[in-house]
Amino acid sequence: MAKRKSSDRVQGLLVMLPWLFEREVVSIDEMAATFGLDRETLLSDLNLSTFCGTPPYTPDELVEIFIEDDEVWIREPRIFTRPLRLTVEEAFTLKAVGEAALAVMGTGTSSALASALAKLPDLADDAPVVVRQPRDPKLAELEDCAASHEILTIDYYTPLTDKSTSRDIVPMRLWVDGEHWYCDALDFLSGEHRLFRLDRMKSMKRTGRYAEASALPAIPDEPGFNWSADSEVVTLHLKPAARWVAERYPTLSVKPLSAGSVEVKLHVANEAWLGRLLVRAGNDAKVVAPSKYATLAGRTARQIRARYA
Amino acid sequence: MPQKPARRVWQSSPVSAKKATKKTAKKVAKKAAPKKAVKPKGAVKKAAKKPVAKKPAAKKSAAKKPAKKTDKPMEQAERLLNLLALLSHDSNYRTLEEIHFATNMYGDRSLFERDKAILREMGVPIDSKVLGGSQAGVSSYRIDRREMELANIDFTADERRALQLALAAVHVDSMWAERARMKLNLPEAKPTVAQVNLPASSKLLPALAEAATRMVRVQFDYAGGSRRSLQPYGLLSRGGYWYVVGNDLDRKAIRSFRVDRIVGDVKLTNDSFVRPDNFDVEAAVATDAEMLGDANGSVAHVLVSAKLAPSVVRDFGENCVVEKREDAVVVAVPCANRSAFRSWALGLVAGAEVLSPPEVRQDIIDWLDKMAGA
Repeated sequence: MAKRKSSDRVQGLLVMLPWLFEREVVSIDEMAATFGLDRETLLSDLNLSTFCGTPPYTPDELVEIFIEDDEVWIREPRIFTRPLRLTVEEAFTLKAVGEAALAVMGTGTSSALASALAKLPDLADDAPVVVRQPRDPKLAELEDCAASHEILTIDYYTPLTDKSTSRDIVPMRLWVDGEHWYCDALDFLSGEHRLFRLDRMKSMKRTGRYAEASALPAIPDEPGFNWSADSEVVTLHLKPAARWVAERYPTLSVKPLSAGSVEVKLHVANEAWLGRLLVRAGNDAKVVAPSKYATLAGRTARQIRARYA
Repeated sequence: MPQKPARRVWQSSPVSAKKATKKTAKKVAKKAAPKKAVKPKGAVKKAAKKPVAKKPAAKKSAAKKPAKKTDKPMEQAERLLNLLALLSHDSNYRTLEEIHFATNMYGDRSLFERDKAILREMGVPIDSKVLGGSQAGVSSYRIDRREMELANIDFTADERRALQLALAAVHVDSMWAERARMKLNLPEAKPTVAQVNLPASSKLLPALAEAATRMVRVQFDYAGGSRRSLQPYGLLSRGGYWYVVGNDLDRKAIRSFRVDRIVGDVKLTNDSFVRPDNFDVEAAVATDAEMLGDANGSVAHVLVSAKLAPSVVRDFGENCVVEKREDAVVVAVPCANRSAFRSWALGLVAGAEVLSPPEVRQDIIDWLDKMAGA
């Protein structure tokens, strides 16, 4: 295990000790799981805390923790009975999380959330932090189907092929990244997990048929675009006028070149996606690698130009 | 020559491990701990092991052997906890000399300064006071426990549940949400069906939020090399970006700034201001559609394929459609900001054609010709 920062250990202990005190006795495994530590790390941190106390540092003045039969318990402490107050960072993040969650919660929960946030001290209360999420009218119905594993028939538009296909899916998770809503789903057309964008679902019909929970594929723990290890990476040189590309899309690396230009590496969803990006960036962006994309910008431009004949 | 801090002497705590129940053992522990004051200063002896990690009775003797070498420097985390405990357990101010006398941790002043800085970074409020009289000029320190500790917050069951759900529904790319969850003693809830990805790990965001809450002016360097002086009214997250909105004192106007384009740190000043009542943070940041230009300014007509029409209508509203054709619509879209308009139109790739005005259409053609020839 990598060496942890002392401040992380201390902050962890200041959360763990009051928690332990509240419970008095817990199993080591439960405690380790609760705080996301492995057993060994937890025990070494607890051990550390028993060297801490106040003058005259007699046992009575030290933190006393006992471990026996896989249980850990604490004698009523005189110090470290409460966690540290929220830092500016923690309070801000709670506020932002609360604001963001309002977009995905029912009204009952959101009013409880609002009153909870109002009780938080300092920043979290009245900080003018606004988090906007796009809305999508299909959301409630998709959530409903996800909860019951109901099969839906959707008409889905794929920009890559510029075609709509009808397919049956079982929605599993819905998520928003600030710009678009996505749906992790079981796709019967491919028989696998697929990611769909809600604004590309042209129509949606409930079938009244349901999938077995056991038939659902595994989806990534956290929502997001999970690039597989072998997905394609493109290297671009961007002049200052095309720097927005590096800000707009997730990059693997950004390296400064001369005169404000940068070299970026990023994942490519598909050729059409990259072609669109290149034609918007114009001659301020150049594909450095792989070489098969060297002519993509020109090809895409000619394809659009054909409309203006 | 910095002096290595010696471990304090620990009174061994002869807790009987042969306890039938925890309750008895607890009592034993308390009774067995003699209140013998041990003078810590200079006394370097074996560090007797405290009863943690104690094995069952059979292994008691093994557990008793000194676990740590006494000449090993005390771990920093242990020092931090002891400093925290000493300064917060009563209301006395202590000088460094007194702190060192009590703990034997700080023969080296720079070590103390470093630890103090780490505690402050963790959010621990350390008060300092410069003494007078015979100790004139000497600094002394204490921590107000009420200021240091999280106050008890009286959440209702519904409120706790709502916070748990919010924390389970929103993924933030920093440790801060997780830390806050633990401090508030909120168990992790099962992931919700609908979730949010919210990038919010920039250190600048909490600083700007703090300034906006306390209503103090900030200074920062912005992309392009300008130094800005801003009264921050609020923060907005939209479309994957964070913006800070406020009164730009140099431009004498309401301006918004992309937080990811701020270079270096944000400096909070002591100049306070008053935020206008009902200030609408969101309205102050132009949307992508608004970036194209004023709806009352120049307008372009664009032929958009039926498949792409819904997303255009979503951005510009129903009223943008001026003509419906078979398999396509003509939309009227602002185009005063030529480069933003071009980027938008080309984003529709071959699904759109700019019809008018002629100079805007020609601009697109020129752009494509330049690329096609390259």
